[in-house]
Amino acid sequence: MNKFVLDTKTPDSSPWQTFLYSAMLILLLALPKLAYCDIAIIVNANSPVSALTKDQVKNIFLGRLTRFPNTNMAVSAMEIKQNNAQKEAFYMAIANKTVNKINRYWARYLFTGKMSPPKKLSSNQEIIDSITNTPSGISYIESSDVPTTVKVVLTLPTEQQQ
Amino acid sequence: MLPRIIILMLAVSFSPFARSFDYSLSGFLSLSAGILDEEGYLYADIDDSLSFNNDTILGGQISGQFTDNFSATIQVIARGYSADDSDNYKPAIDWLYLTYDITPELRVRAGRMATPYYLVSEYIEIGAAYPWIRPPFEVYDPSAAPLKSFNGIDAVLRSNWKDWFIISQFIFGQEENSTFLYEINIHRIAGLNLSFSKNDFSIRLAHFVSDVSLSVFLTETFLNLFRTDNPTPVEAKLFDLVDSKHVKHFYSSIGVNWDNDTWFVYSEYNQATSEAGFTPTGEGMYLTVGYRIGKFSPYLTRADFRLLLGSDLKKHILNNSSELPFLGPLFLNPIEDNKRYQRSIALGVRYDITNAMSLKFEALNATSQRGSVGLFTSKDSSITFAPPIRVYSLALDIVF
Repeated sequence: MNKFVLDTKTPDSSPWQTFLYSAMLILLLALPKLAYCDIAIIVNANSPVSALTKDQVKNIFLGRLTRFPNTNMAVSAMEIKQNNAQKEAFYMAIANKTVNKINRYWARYLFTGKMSPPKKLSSNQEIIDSITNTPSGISYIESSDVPTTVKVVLTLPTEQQQ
Repeated sequence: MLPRIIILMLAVSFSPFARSFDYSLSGFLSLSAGILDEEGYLYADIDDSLSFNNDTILGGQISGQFTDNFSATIQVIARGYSADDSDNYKPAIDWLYLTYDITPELRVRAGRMATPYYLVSEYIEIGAAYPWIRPPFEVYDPSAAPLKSFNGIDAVLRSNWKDWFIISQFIFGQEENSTFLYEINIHRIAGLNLSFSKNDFSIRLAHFVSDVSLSVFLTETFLNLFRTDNPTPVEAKLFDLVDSKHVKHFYSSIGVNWDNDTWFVYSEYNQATSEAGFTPTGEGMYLTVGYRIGKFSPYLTRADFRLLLGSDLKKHILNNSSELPFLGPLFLNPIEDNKRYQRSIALGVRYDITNAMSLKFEALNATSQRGSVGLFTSKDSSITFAPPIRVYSLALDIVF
């Protein structure tokens, strides 16, 4: 006999156990789908920018890039005010940093007035409205929330649960 | 004039007539207590009885955005510490400036701003923004950073070079400052600082030049007792040097910061030199290494400091000792008495209670060297040395 073939039969397998194993298997398969929520980086529909790299997006949101690459257009970054899962997922995906760490980064600039953090808005709808009306706007929302009125320049798969 | 214009603009902006005016309010509070283990000495305002005044600070900042590229900022601070204790908790306008973004990269400001001598000079009041109870005195001592704020202009340029992000800042201005002990008049201050960042690392270079007139009231009164109508050239030079009028001061520094969110390192070296006069020349350095474990961030700081007073004056006296038989020794004594050498080691921990609130504790062991008082002040002015002293401080930092 081929000793590498795994014997799946368990000596005392009851229906209850079979059910339990199957349920666990289903849960395991389903889990990644539950945990992954893609984040879309969005700009104005008429923006000359059609794609951005992860690094460019990171530099924009850290105030280190003031104009869109290969354009003359200034960047107006905006994001949601509260520290929610979407924000955590975004910063983890682009910079591998928690929102706490990002806030620590901005604290020093905030009080010195040397540069300003992304403009804070109170909801995703407000973000969408603002991006729709601001030619130089850039922000991020969950992929599933993206309307046709804005343009997606990068999609980030993330590992944060919603 | 400018302060009034800015206040007026802010007032108008808050009025019901102003529409779509964007403003942000922020504040910070540092409640601090300290004690040291030796009678008769002060470290800033800390002595051997527990005091809450020393580093306690309450501040508020309002920024108003008039248009997309035009804004105004005002920051008011009440400090628990003042040199003569007369102004404790008296609110003072620290910053009051207009900001104009000429391009997305270039920002100019005019008004009253923080003097950016060193790494954390501009946010030295905001304890929440750095790991220590207070930035190490070995670099941040007033002798090496005499101006918290100045009146003038600055230009801030953001640029990219390869993978590096560069912030260049140029400042130009003036400032006056006086306490019951001295009056300092900075006729001009000009400076440039460059900060290069890449990932978790940043390096900062800074150089400032200022034209300073210093009047130490006691010294002046003392000096006037010995002035004669016909001083010899050697005596006249001595008086000039002691007078310290229009002396050029230079402040140079290099600082590095590395923070990978688990480990963090801060290190700075500075040099403050003056061209002539009865003014301090010194250098300082520190190295801080810290580690974040959950909400705790313990750190260790090792620092060194050396300050000499009136090195040109001393040279003049020693070179002309035969012509200054009486005045020479008279001025050599205070020079010798004001040498300051210190080496310290501090162990501290920051505990983040919430995102906006942290509690810090620090134990500092400072050893004054070469028979000096180091960075301590002796309550008895005839005592010019200090034994090794331990300073314990506790602070609660809140931003809101």
